[in-house]
Formats: sequence, C-alpha cells, structure tokens
Amino acid sequence: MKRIYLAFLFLTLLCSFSIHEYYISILDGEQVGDEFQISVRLDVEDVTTLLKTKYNVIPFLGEKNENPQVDSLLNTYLKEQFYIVQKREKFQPVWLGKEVEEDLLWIYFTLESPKLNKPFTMTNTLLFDYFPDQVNVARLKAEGYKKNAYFKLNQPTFEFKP
Amino acid sequence: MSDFQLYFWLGIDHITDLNGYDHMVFLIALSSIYLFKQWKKLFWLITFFTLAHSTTLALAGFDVVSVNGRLIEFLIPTTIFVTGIFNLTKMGQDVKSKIKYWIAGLFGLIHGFGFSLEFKKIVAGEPDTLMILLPFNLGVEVGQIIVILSILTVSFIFQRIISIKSRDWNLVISGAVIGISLVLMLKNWP
Repeated sequence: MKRIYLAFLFLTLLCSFSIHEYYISILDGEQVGDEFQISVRLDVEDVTTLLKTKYNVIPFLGEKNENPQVDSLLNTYLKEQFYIVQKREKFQPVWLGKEVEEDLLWIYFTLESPKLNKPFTMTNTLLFDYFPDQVNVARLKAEGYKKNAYFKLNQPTFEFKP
Repeated sequence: MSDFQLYFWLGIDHITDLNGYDHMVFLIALSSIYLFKQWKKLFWLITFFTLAHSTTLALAGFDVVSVNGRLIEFLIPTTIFVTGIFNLTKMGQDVKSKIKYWIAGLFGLIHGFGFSLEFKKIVAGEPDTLMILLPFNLGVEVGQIIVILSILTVSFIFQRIISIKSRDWNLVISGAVIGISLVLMLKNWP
C-alpha cells in the first residue's frame, strides 16, 4: 500500500496544478433621473489577461506607462458584453472613465434607464470568454426599487421583472 | 433575487467552485479519517472552520486589517500541506483527537483572508456589511456540508464496498493532498 501512496504522491507532483480563484465582478447601478449611473469592479489581473489575450496589448493598468489604447479597448469590450434589452430596444453603456485601486479596476459608465415598471433583460458576460468560472453580480437601485442579478457562463442573461 | 438569496448563493459557490479547489482539498484533508458515523465530529470541524473564516472576512470587510495577498496565497496551500502531514501521524489518525478542531479554526482564519479581496469588492458601496456576511457565511457552511457529504460518500464506496482499509485510504488521500499542496506552495512561493 505504501507503494501506491508514494506513486500517488509522485503523480500529483508531476501534474501541473493551477488555481484560478473564484472571481466575482460586482456591478452597482443607481438610477439618477433618466439614466443609471453604474460602477463595475473587476480584478486588475484578470482584465490584464483579457487585454493581452483578446487584443494583444500589454495594458500596465493604473501604472505611469499605461497603454493609451486601454480605455477605448475596455469601452469596446464593455459594449459587447454588457447591455439591457427592453421591448427589442437595446440600451448600451456610455463610458465615463476608470480607476485602479489596489488590485481592483473600477469602470464607470452611464446607461439610459429602461422602464422599471416593465420587464427587461440584462446581459453581463464580462470575462466569461477567458474565465469560465467567473461570476458576475449586478445590483440595481432606484427609488422604491432594489433588485439583484447573478450571472454565470450558463446563465448570461437575467430577466428583471417589475 | 433578494439580497439574502444573492449572498447565500455566492457563499455556496465560493466553496463548491471546482476551479478554485483549494478549499475542497483542505476539506478532503480534514475529513480523510472520518466515516459517516462520525458525522457530528465533522460537522463541528467545518463549523469551526466557517466561524474562523467569517472572522477574518469580517475583519477584512470592515477594513480592520489588510493582508499581503501573495503571502496568503502561499499560506493557504501550506495549511493544506500541514494538515496532510498531520494525517500521517498517530495523533492525526485518531478520530477522538481534538487537535483537528484547532487546525480547522486556526487555518480557517488564513483561508478567510484568501477571500478578503473578493469580499471587499462585494461590500464596497453596500452600507450593511453584516447583512452580507451572515447569508454569505451561511452559504459557506451549506457549501461545506455538500462537499463533506460527497467526500464521505466516496470514502464509503472505497472503504465499505471496495474494502480498502481506513488507514490505507487515509494514506492515499493524505499523500495526494500533500502532493497537490506542495505544488501549489512552490507555485505561490512569496
């Protein structure tokens, strides 16, 4: 039996183990007037991987030598991966800016508000293309309204009911 | 989806996620000497772990402490490695030994720090941190119960149906755990 145990130990040593920790993005939206003011928090390391792999760009996020293409690429990516649809009308993000705080990237944007008293769908597939275990959370607030949504690779769209 | 449901599911997901399997390997290491009939002991073990994990999450969530992420990434596999080695000792193979409770509690503190950055992301912008912590940690506990039940089922199949001796089962499992954690320690060397 000791041989089996040693073989097992040896085999596991030979294997290449890697962990991609359980990563979450949090999107907070607050209705102000006719629009939602939204912030998304993502991991700098994951967004760096995304920009390197998808756009072949080394971003140096938050550093002095940050690549000047970063904002425009993130804006393009955000529009592809995040949107709201209500009665066939598509609401897309309008980029405001971003900032880096420790290991977190904050992205700020606005989005024309759908009518909250009617159903609408939200799609949030941020980082799903590179990290299949990514979980995205959205928390929407308006006067007398607070709803949350949870997105995973097999559940990229969520229906908000009035 | 209500706030409670959201954070409860996040807690379950955090434990049962197959890609971030370090928690699961730790649970395997903790439970390798137990059988279904010792479920109460295992329940208390994982509860100690959850309490410790909640404490460090709360400390990080309320910004009381901040930790060096790289060091924690190294310490987490180290806790798994130490638990695996402990399983090979005489005391580690004694189901009556109380040391495993200390291991679960002490190492749970370190594992809690491992999730603190993610947790900070969740609590930022939300005024009531406690109302996130409670359902999240309840989800962690339920997630651990699910994992432990799965481990006990596999262990039952091997020990009672395939008739592998308890001691040999523990050696194989602990050997695998030591191997996996050693590779992770080397990869995350600070």
